[in-house]
Amino acid sequence: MSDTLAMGGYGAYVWSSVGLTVIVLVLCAVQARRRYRNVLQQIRAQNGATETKE
Amino acid sequence: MWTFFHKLASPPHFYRIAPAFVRTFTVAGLLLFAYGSWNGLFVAPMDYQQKDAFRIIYVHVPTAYLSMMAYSIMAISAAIGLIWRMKLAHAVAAAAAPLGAWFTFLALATGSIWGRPMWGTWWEWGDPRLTSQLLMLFLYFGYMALRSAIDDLQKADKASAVLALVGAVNIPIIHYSVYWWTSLHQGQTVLEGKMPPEMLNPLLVNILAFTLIFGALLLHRVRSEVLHRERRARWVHQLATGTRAEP
Repeated sequence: MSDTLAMGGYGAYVWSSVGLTVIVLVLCAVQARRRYRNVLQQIRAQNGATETKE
Repeated sequence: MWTFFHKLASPPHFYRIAPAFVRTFTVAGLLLFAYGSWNGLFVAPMDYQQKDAFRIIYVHVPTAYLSMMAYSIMAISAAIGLIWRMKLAHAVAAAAAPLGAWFTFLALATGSIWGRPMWGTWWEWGDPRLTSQLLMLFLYFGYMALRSAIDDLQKADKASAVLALVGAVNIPIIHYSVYWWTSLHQGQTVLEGKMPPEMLNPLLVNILAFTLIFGALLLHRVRSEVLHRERRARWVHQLATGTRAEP
């Protein structure tokens, strides 16, 4: 198991690449959701709407 | 057929149908990413030259490919928006930019991490592939900065579209840089069929997986962009105030 994860000594390079990629993808998803919420909030504020539903 | 495209380009229709695609692409993309990465990282044989370090390819090539794909989508959408004044096209261009920037960052970062053990350096100034890819990151930044600097949405669309189109010359330069000049970067491995199938297949799976994930993120962002642009439209007003159930 640990042999496989060590990647013949290149483990640090391989796993940091994969880890960074996953982190950035998650960040992209979080940003996209946040942007959607912000736009919706702006529109509600502009319409003077009561916050009745999410 | 034409009515299908016409309907797709209608903002409320797009807004309504997008979530189903976002969900499907996300689920399919994540499953394929898990499958492709497992096979690439653990099952595929080791490269005889690069040993296990070559496995970075399974995240590097998909992100690099999509960083250029995102730019192409942005430039083509910008052109469509300029020529046919299609509302949705500018929304797509604006939505593609931040994603393109992130994927470019990933391609640069994973490439750099790969370069360290293989080339003995994280970065080489003046290398054509590395420099043209870095230039693309700055083009994305410039595009986003220009958009946010102009308050008038229509003017922002036009100005940023011109920038996107001018910057598009960089795309073939990135692609052919490894042929036109001497570069530390290796040549086309995938397109020239230099990889055995057990190495290549997980890579193709991951390229598809990243494309689906990118597609989901892009559609999600276009949806927000459409909502923002149509904020004075009646359907958005009804939706935001809840006078009509959210589609």
